Amino acid sequence: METMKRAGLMASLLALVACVTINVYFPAAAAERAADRIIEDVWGEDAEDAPDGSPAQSGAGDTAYGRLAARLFAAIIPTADAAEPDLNVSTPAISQIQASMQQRHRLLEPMYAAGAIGLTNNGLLTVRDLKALDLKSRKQAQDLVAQDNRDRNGLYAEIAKANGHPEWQADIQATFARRWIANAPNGWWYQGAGGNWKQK
Amino acid sequence: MNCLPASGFREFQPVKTPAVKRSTASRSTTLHVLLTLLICLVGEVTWAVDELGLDIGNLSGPGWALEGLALGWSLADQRLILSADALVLPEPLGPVTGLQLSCARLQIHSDGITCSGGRMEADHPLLVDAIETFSFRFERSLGAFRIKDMVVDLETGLVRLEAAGTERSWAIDAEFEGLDLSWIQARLRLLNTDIDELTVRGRINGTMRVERHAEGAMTIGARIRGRALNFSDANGRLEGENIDLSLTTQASLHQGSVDFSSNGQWRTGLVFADPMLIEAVSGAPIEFRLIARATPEALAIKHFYLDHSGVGTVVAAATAAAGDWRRATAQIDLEVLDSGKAYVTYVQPFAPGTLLGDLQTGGRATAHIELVHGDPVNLRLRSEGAWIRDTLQRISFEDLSIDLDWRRDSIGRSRFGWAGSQFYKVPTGHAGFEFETRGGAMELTEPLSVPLLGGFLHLDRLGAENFRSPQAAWNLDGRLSGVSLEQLSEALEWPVLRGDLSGMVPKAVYRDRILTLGGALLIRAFDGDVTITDLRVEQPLGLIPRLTADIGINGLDLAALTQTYAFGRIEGRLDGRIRALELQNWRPVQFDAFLGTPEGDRSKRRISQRAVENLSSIGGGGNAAAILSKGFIGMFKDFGYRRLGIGCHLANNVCEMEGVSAAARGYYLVEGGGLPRIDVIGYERRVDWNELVTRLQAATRSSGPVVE
Repeated sequence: METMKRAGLMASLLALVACVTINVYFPAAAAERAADRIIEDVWGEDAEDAPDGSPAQSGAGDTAYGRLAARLFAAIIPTADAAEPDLNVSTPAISQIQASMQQRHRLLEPMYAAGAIGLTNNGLLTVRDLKALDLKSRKQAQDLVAQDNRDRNGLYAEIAKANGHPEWQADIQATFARRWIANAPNGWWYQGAGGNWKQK
Repeated sequence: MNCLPASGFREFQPVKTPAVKRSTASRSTTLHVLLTLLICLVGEVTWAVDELGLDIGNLSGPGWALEGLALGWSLADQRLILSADALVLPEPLGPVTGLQLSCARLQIHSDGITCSGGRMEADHPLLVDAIETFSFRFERSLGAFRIKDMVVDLETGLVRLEAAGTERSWAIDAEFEGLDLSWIQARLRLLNTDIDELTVRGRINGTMRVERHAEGAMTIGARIRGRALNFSDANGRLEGENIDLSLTTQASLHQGSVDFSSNGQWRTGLVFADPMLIEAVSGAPIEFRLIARATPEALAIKHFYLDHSGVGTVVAAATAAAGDWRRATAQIDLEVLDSGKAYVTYVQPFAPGTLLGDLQTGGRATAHIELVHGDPVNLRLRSEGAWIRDTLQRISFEDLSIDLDWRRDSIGRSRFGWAGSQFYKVPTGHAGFEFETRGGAMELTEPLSVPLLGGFLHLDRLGAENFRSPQAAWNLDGRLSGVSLEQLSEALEWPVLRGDLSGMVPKAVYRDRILTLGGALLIRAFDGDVTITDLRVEQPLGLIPRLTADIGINGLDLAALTQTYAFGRIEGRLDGRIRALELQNWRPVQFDAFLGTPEGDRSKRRISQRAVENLSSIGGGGNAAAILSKGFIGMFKDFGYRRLGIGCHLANNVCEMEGVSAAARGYYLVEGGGLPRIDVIGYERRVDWNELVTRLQAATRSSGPVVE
């Protein structure tokens, strides 16, 4: 009887082990790297090196030497995250959106600096202080923000599609939301998790 | 009548004074009571005093109350003083305290009194110090009063007041000069009114008349002229700069209904009214007129007129139940003189980030719109010589001619035409068509031919269902004839292809921003057939258009394809397939393609030296030209071949290449046949797609002479 019980237990254990589900998890680190590349491209030199959350630069000092050392270290001994394959972000759609955002950024940049627009906590832009702009720029700010948000939503969807997982769109958007803020230069405004505005 | 104290004398000190002729008091009106008391007092008292006082107590009427009213006579300066602790007025005006009216010269006669050199003191945020010099006259028999020459100095401007009438019907006239709006606003703030939302600055001149008619109606009229006015709200959504305007307004209130009329001219200045930015520039004012009537049940705009100089005019009339503007019944006529300016000011701000927000337009148009309970029932739109261009260069129409007549409940006939249009980089020529609409349905009345790249797109049928709803579906049946492949490939920046294209476009449906074909798109080209199946275009006018299709190629004549082709002449036939083709923004991102000599092909198969060179360069071969031009091989202009073929599996920007068969370390692009035998072997298995396109373009655009 005891043996039969054990055999039953073994069988159910075996069944449990045999039932293997392969989950494709969202590649968070690869998505962060992709986001940082795109942000640097769109913002140009505005984009700051953001140590927080960037695995390649963890432990990096503030000096150029420190950063170089960290990069060399990362190159020689890749971390587990870095071993995760890169996301594909080089489709014509993504390149086009990126180019359009890059071009628009020249106009948006002074509005970020003036605090007129800010980065929302969901990876988009919003006009946060119309008063910071003269009347003519207020309309322009709203146009540019709406256009940039169209591009941003398009970008997140296209990256998800390009990597064969349209369902990743929300995760990619969330990743970008963090990285836009992390890469933003000092003085720009961003929305905290609770929706309150903070200045970097 | 006994005129002795009603409430009691104050500071009673008998002094001899001359007797004044006695008079009788009347009752009824509060004003009467006061004045009668005054006359009694002056007439009865026969003692000498420094100051005489009479406490009257409280008086009230609808909307006001006088508390602690008292009447006095100051002997020192010979002034009669009427004072009150407080005049309580309705909110937000609040109480006027320390009210004191006095008179320097008082004439009392049988039918009333006349006061000149009047003086008023009061404590109220809207009043400053004392008001000097005014005259007052009261006629008892008519119950009529008149106040003249009252000048209120408000520190920042003057207000002249006059009032006349009886208790039942009266009028107050005010004239103001250089009145500082910010001062008024600061004063109003002291009343705790909820006007902090809007900050105003600037000075106004004007007049105002408030009139009460005997039957109870009230009329308020004002004419205001303001210069260099500025206003702004707390969050920057409503702000005006340097506004110069004049405004005439009249409102009559009677038994709960208001008749309102207003007209104004806004001469210069800039206003941001989120999301619109409206500017009136010198010489191009914005004028408006409004006549409206509001009752507790409904609002009727009898006439609205807006003329934005150089931009357009709006004439409208509308009625709606109170608080239910969405279900208004209205007639609106628009005349647009400059659709570019009208679009930028009044349309584009409401659609940023959409196709409607990305346009540029110009030209004139007129429109007539009728709404019944909020639902459009009739729309007429006419335009000649207008143009529309998408700033993102997706679509454009030049020299548009529109005559639209849409009716919700009956058939309307419309016409739409253009001198030229462009869909992305594909231009079309002059075309026009007529169509019938009924409610949400639309149908061409006769087939349409649109000039397209040297040929035509014939539309045998173009119709729409439910085009007013999100479930709108557009259906199209058509044919292509004589479309130049050369022009098409140039327009799309593809490697240049030569020849004509014709075929069927069966049962195209556009729904939910997706265009699909109900059957195969058949194209005759180069003496062969190209069959496009499962064609689907997502968001053809969206941010990233996405096209997917399968393409079959059958029996193309290579000689015809390469006839005047810089690529080099090839004779033979070509079969092929491009499966799972996906274009994003009209550029390929993925496909599985193979093009090659058909199985069992019996046609003559020759390939020129130049084509061999170009094929070699595409397959990543070395300097084939150098080899071919040398020695024995160089004597031959072309060569026979057994079969040729090239395949590419494109994914992630990389083309996995293949040929007709495997070769040592590579693949055959051309298997030679006959003598001298030439094989073209590709060695690169993985070629960067952009690199491949560059090679192909270089090969087809080569400007050197083509020696065949």
